[in-house]
Amino acid sequence: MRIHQVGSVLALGDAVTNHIVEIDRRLSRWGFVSAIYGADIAASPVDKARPDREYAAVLDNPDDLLIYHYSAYCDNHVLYQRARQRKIFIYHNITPAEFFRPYDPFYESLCRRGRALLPELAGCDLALGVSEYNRQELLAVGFAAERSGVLPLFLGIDDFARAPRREQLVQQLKAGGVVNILFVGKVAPNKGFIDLINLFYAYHRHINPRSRLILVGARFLPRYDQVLDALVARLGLGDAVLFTNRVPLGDLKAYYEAADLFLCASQHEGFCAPLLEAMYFRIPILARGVTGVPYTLGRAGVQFHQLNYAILAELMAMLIEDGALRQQVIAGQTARLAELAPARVEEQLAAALRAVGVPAPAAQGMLP
Amino acid sequence: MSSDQTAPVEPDVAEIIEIRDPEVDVEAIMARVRENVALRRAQGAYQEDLDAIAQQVLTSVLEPTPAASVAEKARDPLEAALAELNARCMVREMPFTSRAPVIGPLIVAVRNFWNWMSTKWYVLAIVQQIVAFHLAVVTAFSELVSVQRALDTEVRQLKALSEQQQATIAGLQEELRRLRSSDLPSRK
Repeated sequence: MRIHQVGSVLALGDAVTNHIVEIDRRLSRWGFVSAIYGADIAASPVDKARPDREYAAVLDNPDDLLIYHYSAYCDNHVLYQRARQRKIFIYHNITPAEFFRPYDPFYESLCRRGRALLPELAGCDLALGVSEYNRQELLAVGFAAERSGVLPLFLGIDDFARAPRREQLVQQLKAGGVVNILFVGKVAPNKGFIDLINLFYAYHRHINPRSRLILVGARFLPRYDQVLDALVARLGLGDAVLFTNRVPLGDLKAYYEAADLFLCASQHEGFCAPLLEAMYFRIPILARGVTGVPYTLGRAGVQFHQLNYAILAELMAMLIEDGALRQQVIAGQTARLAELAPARVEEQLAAALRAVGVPAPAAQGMLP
Repeated sequence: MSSDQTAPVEPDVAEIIEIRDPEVDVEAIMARVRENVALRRAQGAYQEDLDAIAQQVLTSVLEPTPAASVAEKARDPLEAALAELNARCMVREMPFTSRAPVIGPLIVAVRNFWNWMSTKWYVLAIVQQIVAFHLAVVTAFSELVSVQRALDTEVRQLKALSEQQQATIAGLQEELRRLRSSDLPSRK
């Protein structure tokens, strides 16, 4: 049996692309003929990825299954709508357009179109959110509750394990006992970088000047970058804030290994995969408890609901310095990570396939 | 008490922080946070209004100065047009489908065959030429917008420099006037 996954932009390090690849690995292992298509595959990390127009040739095969990943407006939604085969719709969420308005009309337009189109995509056999938050958004725009579910993102643990260890970078970051506070995510306005910088300032200025804020993620909005650079300069944090831009997996691993705290001030997240990565690297998490974040954290980590710099700076210090608290938080996160372990997600994937009549293996058959 | 009147009103920590893990003594943490904030505030910490500073930065970067506003007004429609071009530049063939029951697949097969016979090789080549042209337009337009942005920045920087130099000149002229007037008695 053939299963086709269609996405928009397939790129290295992108959470949606990683999810597509992880699903593909399982499907292939279970004996399905698994294909991947994208609208833009120029930077795809997957050799087998094909241009989405090639999917047009098979969209009428009634025995096949389409898994359509929706994370941004893309004209290949037409293929999804025209497909005459079983369809699973996976919603990765789309950032509300308002976040981009002051910075970039193109991304604002893309997000607005993406959200406006969502109700028209409800015609599927099963709609899956990558978090309960996303599933609720689907229900709110008219997707059928009885044909909906949650399939969390796969954490690519194997990829991290395989990535080269950048010992020199880790030592360099830890040199002189500097405390490293980390956030991972593309440098976009919904990720709350202004709040991150302000929070770091409060900690750095009033508690520990031997500290560094490491911001790992692609910079792609010149006007937003300009604002962030100006804020860093205005607060005198030039030497303490490091924007790495996009980095190879080995470097990302080093930043996680050197981090003392994962600080997330995002105002909108569908899932926030870096939270899982921080759990995996045993870094205590302090995150703004909004949108998809509380669903991903479950009972783990520490969440904040108001931006009080003094209180949060003191809490950051406790999470970094208080060994007992740190271990308790990490233990909670490790337990949460086990709930979201790839083997569990694999079971959910198989259940989703069975729900649309695809003979996926039962749980015991999937375990290695 | 007078000290209460001057101390900042600290919001309830429990409304700010949420720890769901039952293994963590949340009350003890809240108490220590409160205590540490009070201690550091007493030493003069946390006085700056970081939200106001961020707002100033946002305003200075995003809101155009009066001199730049003409250029900004001209640029916004350019950026909107660029967004539109980007969103619509790809023209792609889409498959023919039919929702007709039973005979639908037959209609699709006949239509696909007819499309293949009559137009595919002819139209597809034209579509590819159109897409190539669209992409060239988008690229050229993007470059123009980039150049425009760079020029705006340069104009703003030059204007700021010019204002700075005018202020320096004015200060020097004032200083010169003051020195001349203070020299007058000795000359006499």
